[in-house]
Amino acid sequence: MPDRRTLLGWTAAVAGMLGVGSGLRAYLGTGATGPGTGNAGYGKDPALVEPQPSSWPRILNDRQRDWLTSLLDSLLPRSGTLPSASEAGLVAFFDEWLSAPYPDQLADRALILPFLDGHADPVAENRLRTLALAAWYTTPAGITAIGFVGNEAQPDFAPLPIAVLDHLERAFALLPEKQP
Amino acid sequence: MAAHALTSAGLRVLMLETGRDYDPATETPMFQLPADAPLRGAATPDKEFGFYDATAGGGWDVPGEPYTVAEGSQFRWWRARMLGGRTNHWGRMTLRFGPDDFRGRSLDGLGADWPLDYAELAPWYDRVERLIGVFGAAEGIANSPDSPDGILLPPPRPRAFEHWMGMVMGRRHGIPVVPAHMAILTRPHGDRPQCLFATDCMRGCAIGANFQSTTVLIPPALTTGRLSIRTGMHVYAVPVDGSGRATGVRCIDRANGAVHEFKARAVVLAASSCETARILLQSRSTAFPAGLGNDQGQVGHNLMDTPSVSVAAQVPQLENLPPFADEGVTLFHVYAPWWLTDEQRAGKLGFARGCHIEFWGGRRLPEFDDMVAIAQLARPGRGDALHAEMQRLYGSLVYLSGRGEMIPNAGSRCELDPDVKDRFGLPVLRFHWAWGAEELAQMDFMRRTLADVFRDMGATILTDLSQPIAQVMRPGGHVIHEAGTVRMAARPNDGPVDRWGRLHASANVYVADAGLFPSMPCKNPTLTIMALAWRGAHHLAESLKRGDA
Ligand SMILES: Cc1cc2nc3c(=O)[nH]c(=O)nc-3n(C[C@H](O)[C@H](O)[C@H](O)COP(=O)(O)OP(=O)(O)OC[C@H]3O[C@@H](n4cnc5c(N)ncnc54)[C@H](O)[C@@H]3O)c2cc1C
Ligand code: SF4
Repeated sequence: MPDRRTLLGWTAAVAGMLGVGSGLRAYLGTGATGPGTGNAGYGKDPALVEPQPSSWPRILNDRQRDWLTSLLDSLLPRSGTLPSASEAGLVAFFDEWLSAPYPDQLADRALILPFLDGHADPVAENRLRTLALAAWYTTPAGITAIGFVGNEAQPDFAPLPIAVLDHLERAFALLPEKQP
Repeated sequence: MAAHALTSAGLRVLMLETGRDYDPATETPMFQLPADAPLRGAATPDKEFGFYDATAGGGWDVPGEPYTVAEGSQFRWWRARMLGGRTNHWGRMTLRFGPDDFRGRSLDGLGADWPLDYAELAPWYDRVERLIGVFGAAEGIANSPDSPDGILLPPPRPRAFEHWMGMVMGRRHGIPVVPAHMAILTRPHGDRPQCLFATDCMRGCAIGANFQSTTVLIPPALTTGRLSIRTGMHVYAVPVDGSGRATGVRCIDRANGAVHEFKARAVVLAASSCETARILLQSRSTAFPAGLGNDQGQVGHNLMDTPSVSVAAQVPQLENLPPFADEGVTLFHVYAPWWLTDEQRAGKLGFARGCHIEFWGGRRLPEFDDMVAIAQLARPGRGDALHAEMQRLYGSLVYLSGRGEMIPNAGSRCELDPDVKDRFGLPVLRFHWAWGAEELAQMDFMRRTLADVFRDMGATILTDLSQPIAQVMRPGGHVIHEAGTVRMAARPNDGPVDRWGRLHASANVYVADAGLFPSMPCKNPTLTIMALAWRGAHHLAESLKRGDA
């Protein structure tokens, strides 16, 4: 069974996109940035076409970065043409993420920093793995590796490939008799 | 919409917008990747629907402009602070209300009838659909009207996951999955190009291939030379003369706090349901001590939103599909319209109104939050084994959302907060919210239906189904379909606004947003907002020409 964080991640994100809200991610906004965190986020109206790099100060020290590099590269080593985690920029990603002044990231900071300082913690390790995969698969190399095709203008919307239709018809034929 | 209709009828219009100017042509991040954005574009309290979402200056929170929620209630209010408002990033689902939706009370005794019927609104639906461009098909489904031939653009084929869901739902559950009606161009339309079948509509569309008022309505209205726009102008009241007629509006200039009063022959309020109610409530005068149009104490009452419940699952049949382009219009290609009208009329369901189903999933551009979800499902491993897991799971998560209809109730409304003020020193809105028994029964049915569909295909349900329905139903406002606060009614004691959208109390004040709705069916509101706005603007233009508005 997937754990509850599955709900926290995906259904919350989708719910947001659809304007259906989630009730899981309680972004009521008060105190998320500013006082108490010592940092400001990027604000409610950042430039979107040419996003600026986030401005909050980075908090990882060299020892943490080294340890992170070896952890990440053992999880996702270089493989054929696929870059390793550190080659894909994941150390910088974690430095940005764990330094950010928002509630999810502050929670991750509290969870993961002690782990990077050598305190064994399976929950932190698991969260680190999840974030690493999401970060790797949102790089240009990851987007291709996962099988995504798109983000390029199409002259029209091509029909579903026969191979896909066949795959789905075969899967349908395999469904057991429907229970009444 | 009203400004477009009024300027094309030859009238001069001043549009006052509290947000900033916004230009989709230069401000839309069309092809930008998650990796180009801070935090990979993940949602944060600054950008609650993700970094690239086309909401400027707002979201669930607008800095300095709070709202309050009465004790025991839960409500959230999504606002943007930009020209074009929430049409810049809405879901583009564009359904007509059906004939039964206008006479619900007559049919089942609940809620309120509309003071007009479907036949009367139908020509305005036709006009709006022709103007903005909507794809869809005629399906002949009860109470989900078809458009006359030649109006709708051809729908795109279902995406792979929609195709699969349609096979299972249609063939094994008797739930029809048909082309959605969406305000997205699958063919060139006037001088607007067709969709690129790539790039996320919720970021807006730089080429104007979907509907945003900033690309479709405002530019032609400006070319008439009769529209002036002042952004950063926060309207707070409609002053009246001794006879109760509006003389114009009062507003505050965001830049310097200066108060302006603009004179006008007529005023159209379209600040979205709740803000329109707020402006009316703030418009106190000797003639209207309780607020303009509020003699019967109805402004702000009958607030509705769409009840919704969702079930997410991992669908094994969608694993390991070969790579192919399947983004399409990036929003819904299909939906399931309400399919049990007959059973419901026969009293077999235990609730009175319909629901529809929306679909989410597929092989979209990998967004950070989507990747987090599948990473959590990936089996332990490292290196190539882990990559194989991610590739297996990509595109196999499906999210179904049931959308129903709320019956207005006395416990759901907004009013001026007696204590809390915003950055302008104006009283903020205080919301009260309660779902009724009808909505709970309807959503309980939907949750069971959606879970059955997933179970039947052997999918792993990711949503916790053990909670009582009242706990999983989202607080009011979450679906961002607020409606009903200044509803239309034939008689003043049933609603503040007449059948044209004009205040019963003041003949030159019109409302042109979902505040007008006496009921809020499961169909999404924006098409009906525009049809009513156009019809109301036409009425206003005729009245002004005759000199009786
Ligand atoms: C994520 C999301 C998905 C959605 N999906 C769909 C969908 O698929 N289908 C559908 O039909 N609907 C959908 N909606 C709802 C849709 O966006 C609204 O119904 C629609 O935008 C309402 O139009 P409106 O003009 O009434 O309000 P808005 O779009 O909110 O416009 C109101 C305008 O008035 C301005 N304003 C507010 N207060 C003041 C003031 N005091 N003075 C001056 N100006 C003011 C605002 O800044 C704004 O520009 C969705 C909404 C969201 C957020
Ligand atoms: S999917 Fe089509 S309509 Fe939507 S933003 Fe992209 S190009 Fe525009």
